[in-house]
Amino acid sequence: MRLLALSSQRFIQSHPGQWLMALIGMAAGVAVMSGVWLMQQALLGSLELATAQLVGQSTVRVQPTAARLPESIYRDLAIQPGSPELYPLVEVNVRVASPDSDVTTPMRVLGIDPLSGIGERHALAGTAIAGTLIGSSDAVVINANTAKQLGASVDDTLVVEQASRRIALDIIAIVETSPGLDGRLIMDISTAQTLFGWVGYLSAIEAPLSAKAWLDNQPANGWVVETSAERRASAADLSRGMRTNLLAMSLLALAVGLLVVYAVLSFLLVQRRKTLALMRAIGVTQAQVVMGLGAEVMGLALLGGGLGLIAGTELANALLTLVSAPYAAIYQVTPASVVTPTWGLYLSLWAMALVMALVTLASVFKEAFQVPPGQLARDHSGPSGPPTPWARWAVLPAVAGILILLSATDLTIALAGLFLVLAPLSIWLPKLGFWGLAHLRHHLGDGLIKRAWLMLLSARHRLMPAVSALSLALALSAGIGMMVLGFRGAVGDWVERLLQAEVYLTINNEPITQEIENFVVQTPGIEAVSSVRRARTSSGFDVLSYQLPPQAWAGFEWLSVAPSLGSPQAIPAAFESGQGVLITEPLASKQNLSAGEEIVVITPKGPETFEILAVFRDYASEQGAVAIDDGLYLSLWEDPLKDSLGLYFDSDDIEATLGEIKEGLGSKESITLTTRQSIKDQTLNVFDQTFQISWALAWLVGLIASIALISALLAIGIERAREYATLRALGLSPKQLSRLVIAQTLGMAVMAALLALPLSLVIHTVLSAIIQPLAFGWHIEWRLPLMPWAVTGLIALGIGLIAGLYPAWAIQKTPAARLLRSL
Amino acid sequence: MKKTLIFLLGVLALIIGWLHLETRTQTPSPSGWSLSTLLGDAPEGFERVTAPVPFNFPADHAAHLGFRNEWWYFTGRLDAPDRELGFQFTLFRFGANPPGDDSQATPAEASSAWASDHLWMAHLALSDGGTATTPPRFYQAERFARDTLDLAGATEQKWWLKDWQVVATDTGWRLDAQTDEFELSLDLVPTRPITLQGDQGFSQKGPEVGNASFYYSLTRMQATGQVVLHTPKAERLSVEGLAWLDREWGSGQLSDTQSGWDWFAIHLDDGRDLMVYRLRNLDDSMSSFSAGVLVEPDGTTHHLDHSDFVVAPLQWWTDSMGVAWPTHWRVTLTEHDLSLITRPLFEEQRWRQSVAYWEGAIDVFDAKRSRTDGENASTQVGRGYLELSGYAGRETPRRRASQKRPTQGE
Repeated sequence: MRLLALSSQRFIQSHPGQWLMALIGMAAGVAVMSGVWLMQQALLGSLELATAQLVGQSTVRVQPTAARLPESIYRDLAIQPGSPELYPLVEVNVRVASPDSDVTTPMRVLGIDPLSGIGERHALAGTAIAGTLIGSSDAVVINANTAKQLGASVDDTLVVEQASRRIALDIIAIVETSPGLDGRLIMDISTAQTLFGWVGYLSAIEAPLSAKAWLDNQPANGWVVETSAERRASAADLSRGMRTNLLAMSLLALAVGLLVVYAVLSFLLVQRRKTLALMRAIGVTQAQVVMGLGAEVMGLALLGGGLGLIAGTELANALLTLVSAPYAAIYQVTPASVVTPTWGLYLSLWAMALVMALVTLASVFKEAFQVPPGQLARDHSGPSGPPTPWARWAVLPAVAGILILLSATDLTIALAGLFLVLAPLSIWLPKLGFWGLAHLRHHLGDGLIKRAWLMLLSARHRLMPAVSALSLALALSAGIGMMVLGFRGAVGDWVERLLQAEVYLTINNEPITQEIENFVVQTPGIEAVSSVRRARTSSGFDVLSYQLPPQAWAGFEWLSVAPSLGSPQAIPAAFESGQGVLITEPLASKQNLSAGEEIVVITPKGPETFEILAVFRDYASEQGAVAIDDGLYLSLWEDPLKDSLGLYFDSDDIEATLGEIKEGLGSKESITLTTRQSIKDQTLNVFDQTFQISWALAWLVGLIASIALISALLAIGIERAREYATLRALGLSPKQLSRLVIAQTLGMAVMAALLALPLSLVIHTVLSAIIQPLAFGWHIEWRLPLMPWAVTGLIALGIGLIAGLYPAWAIQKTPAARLLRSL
Repeated sequence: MKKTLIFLLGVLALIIGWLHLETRTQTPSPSGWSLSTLLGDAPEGFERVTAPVPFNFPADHAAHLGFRNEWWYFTGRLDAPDRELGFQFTLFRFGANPPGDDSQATPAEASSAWASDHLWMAHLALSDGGTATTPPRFYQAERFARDTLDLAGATEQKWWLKDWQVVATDTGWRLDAQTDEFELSLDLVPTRPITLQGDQGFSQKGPEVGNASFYYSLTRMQATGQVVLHTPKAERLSVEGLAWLDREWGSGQLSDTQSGWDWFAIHLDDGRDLMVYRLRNLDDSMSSFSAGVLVEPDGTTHHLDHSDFVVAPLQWWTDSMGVAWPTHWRVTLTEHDLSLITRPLFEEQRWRQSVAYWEGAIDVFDAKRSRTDGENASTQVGRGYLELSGYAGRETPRRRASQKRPTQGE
């Protein structure tokens, strides 16, 4: 064994570059996988981490059924005999302006009563902080991570933007807390209420878990109770689609990373065949050879995995920064700025990487096992590359994958189906590619290009994993790109159609009263007004109270209509008469409902059953919503307030009418008037931000694939050194030789790109037609944007060029004589 | 070979070390709330106690919002069929801003109700002396609120913080308060007239003008009602006994040279009620502003100044946090022929909430009919309550002295 170990060491020392490549491949794969995994945990935990820091773990939350909780509810509960400790909260999403640029960072105001929960373990340890918070009208406390993120220190002024307001806050303290309070601006509840238009209202009330039974026994009017477990589950459910997509992509990244390891190690094995055969001849057993190689792989996986975990942690933090703004916009939750890994999580990821490395290299071990004693010649036809039986049997998983995809009702199963389809494709396509190359060689004449071509073909078994990796990565990038662009187009069209009013009126974080609505309706120049009010229910979806003038109905795209109505034209009358409700497509998908059926909605007056008049297209929320006529809503919720008004004008001078409205509501500085175009822009902006992370991951996968290709080509360069030397000796100039090498890498990259085209179509189609509907509940019209293909082609050329430069340089640099001698 | 292995193990160790640093979590530290900003020197603008003023009842039962601090302080000893108990219910008010001070005020058009000028704190404790089969147990709970949304306040008829409340009845007061662990419902009927402490209710606590409070007491109230225990097992106990009420208000009444106080409220079996407090100077000597009162059964009062009594600790008890508390005492009033030894109902009656102090039920023995050491005193002549403040090390002397009940027991 000692002999084997010494041989290993000598071999590793003489091929540091290739081992480094394998190490980087391993680390990169693990990094992407663990990065996405850790980021997901941070996203999921962000809901309750903040409150856990202030009021303790395991809480229940009194949530309003409408947008806000009147603070009188807090009083009514707090003065009941036996009332548990209750913690009032005001939470407002804001953006913090950077002092030196136009960049704003999304953060969340946490208005608390520092006097509540004093006996608990409290993040605001120290009395001075709490006392000053209570006494001040603009004091804010942030944690160290937030301070670092903002580059702020104590006594600095933070400028916070909320809708059109700009509010200056004074940082009175920076506290050390766990990342749960990252991105939180902690202030006294009175400050939050006054500055952000929440006077008289709370966002929620937190209470210890032990208070649940007591709260359940109180007559709930306008509120529901949720435990932190339920909140976590609903948050997990809410963002499940997004997270599963990311996870799937991270697993693909790991697969690509493992292909790199496979490519490198199988080459290294070939180079050691002679040594291994010698050892076998002097008595080293087959098992010892495999154990020796196993130890090498374990060492590689341990080190590479460990480095990958480090890089993954940093990657997760970077991804969190990227995702926090859209996540805050979509899910109303500001995630922590850094992840909070645990040893359990690290060890699981590490172990997973080890097992996958061993499994991936099973065929390499098998090959080593079969090295006969005393075989001194190199076996050029050595196995490596995906063994042929695999290719034949791979048809089974591919068929199974297609069947699964066609019948899947669950996102995870559908993704498994996609993997099953992609895996055999990534084996077959390179074979197909090389088969094509082999047929092309007859048309190439006898020049340098043909020489390069033939050399590529002779190394095809070893090049296949690298080509697979690159094709897969390019296909993934292109496929995701096509899906995202197609989706973006669909969302753009949907917003365009939905927004029928010219201008939308909102009041910053405050509901619109009946008085304001009446004033707007009566303003000369206003033809009609639509309104929306969103109410939260404990049914798992929101209720939208709609008041819609005839013009607004054109904004709906009906996906199905109740048979009793016959045609879409009958929907408005039936809706306005309270005959039934409308539901969004995601709700219909998730609850398996269709028009004509009934849905139960939990209202403040108890559960009510409604007929579903129609299902309409909606990309606004994944959990879906029920639209109810405002008259019906008022009778059940007794809530006359509105969240926004849509204004339809009958005069041409819109500006004058708006001026009149502004003047009439003059004391309400917080009124915001937004045009249709501006809402569309904002929506698409959030959309683009949401998919930034997908792009980032696609790039990472591409990067890992480039490593695969470069390492494979390097290995070829080394393996072909004798041929290169012969070519040099025969008179080929170093420059010509370099061209030959670069022609090879470019050819490979172009081949990978061509192979990626059909693969990307498969990915795009599956993502758009199967994964999206399962993940989010909505369908996307299939479109074929060609831009991603063009970009993919360019990237492939770039990779091919870069991958060829180093081997070409290395060959040029080495004198031909040495190359010949070293053989 | 070895070198390579060592190098690789070193790299692995570095990786593990880095990962370990990442997994460290920040645990919030215990709050250790002391409300120093609210309890320090009273800012200008608060009313000061500088001379006696006539009291006016029931108006003076309500809050005096012009002053910085105020409290309603009930203590009492109760008897259940199988055990002895003690209780404490205290309502504190702290003025955050002087009346009429609008410097921190927010614009009136949209000001939050939570932007309050007064903060309220309530302490509720039950000392269960235990039975033949169950050990003694100290229950304690603390609550805070602002005087907003009717969450806390004090009128002539009602003193409350959330659901803990004392309501005036035809004969006295009714106290109702409950926690997860126990409930207290007591009818409290005064059997003696109101005692004005100090000089007609003007109680000087320090050398400077304003180092004083207005202070009155109801020294003996008949208490009847129920105690419900939820833990360790559910029990409903009918109880009766005697209670004591102290009412006090002022602004910045303590001197910087005082470090704490020891306060005794004793119901003697002969019908007399005794209250003495020893204010401690920074060197632990007795302040000359220490005082007390002895109330005869007919309501006659004998005011005591620092030279009329001696209190001396006999025995100390060290809590689990290492703080030593003098829980056994000798109290001597030579002129009134009283030599008493006090002993706690049980030692563990230390407050572990945001304010660190010891307040508990005590038994009182006649020292002249006992041996000198308190432990063996055998002739019980009364019961009462003892409060010890300023012994927990984490507070500065100034803070300790002003932390709570600055005058009561000082």
